[in-house]
Amino acid sequence: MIEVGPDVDADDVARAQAGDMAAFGELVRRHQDRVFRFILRMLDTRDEAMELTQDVFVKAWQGLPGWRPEARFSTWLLQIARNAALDQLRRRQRVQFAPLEEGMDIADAKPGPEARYASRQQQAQLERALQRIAPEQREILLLREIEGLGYAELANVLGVAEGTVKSRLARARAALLEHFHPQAGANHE
Amino acid sequence: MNRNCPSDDALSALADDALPAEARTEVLTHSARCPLCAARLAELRALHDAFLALPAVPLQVDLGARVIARLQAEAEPAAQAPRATGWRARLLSLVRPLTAWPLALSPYAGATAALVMGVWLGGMLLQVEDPQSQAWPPSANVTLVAMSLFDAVPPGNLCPRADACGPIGSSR
Repeated sequence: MIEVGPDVDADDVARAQAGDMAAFGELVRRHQDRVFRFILRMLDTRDEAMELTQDVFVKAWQGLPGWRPEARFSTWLLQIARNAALDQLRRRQRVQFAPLEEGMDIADAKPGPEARYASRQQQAQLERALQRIAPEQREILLLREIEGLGYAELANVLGVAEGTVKSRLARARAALLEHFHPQAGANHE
Repeated sequence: MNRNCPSDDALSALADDALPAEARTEVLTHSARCPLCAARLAELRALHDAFLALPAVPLQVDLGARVIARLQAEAEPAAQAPRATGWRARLLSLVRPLTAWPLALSPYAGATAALVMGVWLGGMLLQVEDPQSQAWPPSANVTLVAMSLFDAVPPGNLCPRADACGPIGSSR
């Protein structure tokens, strides 16, 4: 993950707001991987994610004149990406959570003998388990666990109170842990 | 999990290191004694580690160049002629075939048509109201009889004075 400080963006954002497309191109290059990986894990389709990532930056360009540096530029981009991804999921009519079918438990209790293989197995299981939970739960987990957004930033991106962020995160983790077991441990019943 | 255990929200927030100091101490102290909470906390932390272990998914293309090309392509037509979109575009596409004929919807066309119609109707009235130049038989002068209905004294009415009625047997 490439973390970019707000100061690095500030200059390019100011130039882009003045109509400098080259400066905006730099912003796109700096943030494209972050936006893409979020959308890819939301949609689980590479081509669709690439197309939507472009759309996100086009929308960002269009919204740039009205943007104020109250939040990080990268957080604002993730907010646009989140809205775009949810819209796309609605179009695909996949907003409704599809419960895991019987006998389709993703977690494999018997990982491969080699550590590398086991690690790959676990990654694949986590990716698949993410697609099994509701998009609203998936997005908050991706934004928190991978993009590293704090509670205040999550509240800003999702448009909810910080208290809601806390409870929604807990529910999202509980839902994911129903399909993914990162390690053998006692159940917390 | 018993009623003394912290909520799942609190354990989740602890895994995020997002609890206030006092609450954090309470939850940690409890988890040290409670194997269920300790296991849940370990599970949440392992989940966080599993997320961090996910492979990067780089885009592997220069999206900056693509986005700029797209923005420029969208900006050029817009700069040349602002076009309507949505329902306006559909409406204009229906009207456009008519407007392709420049005079079809112009006000001059309507005025000309009204003028021609007026001259034509006026000519008809002049023809039927000139009894001196009447060259056809009375049976053909149906238009005159019909138009006399609109006279000040219609056919069949009494003449209020001698000169108010016409010489053709009607009220005129």
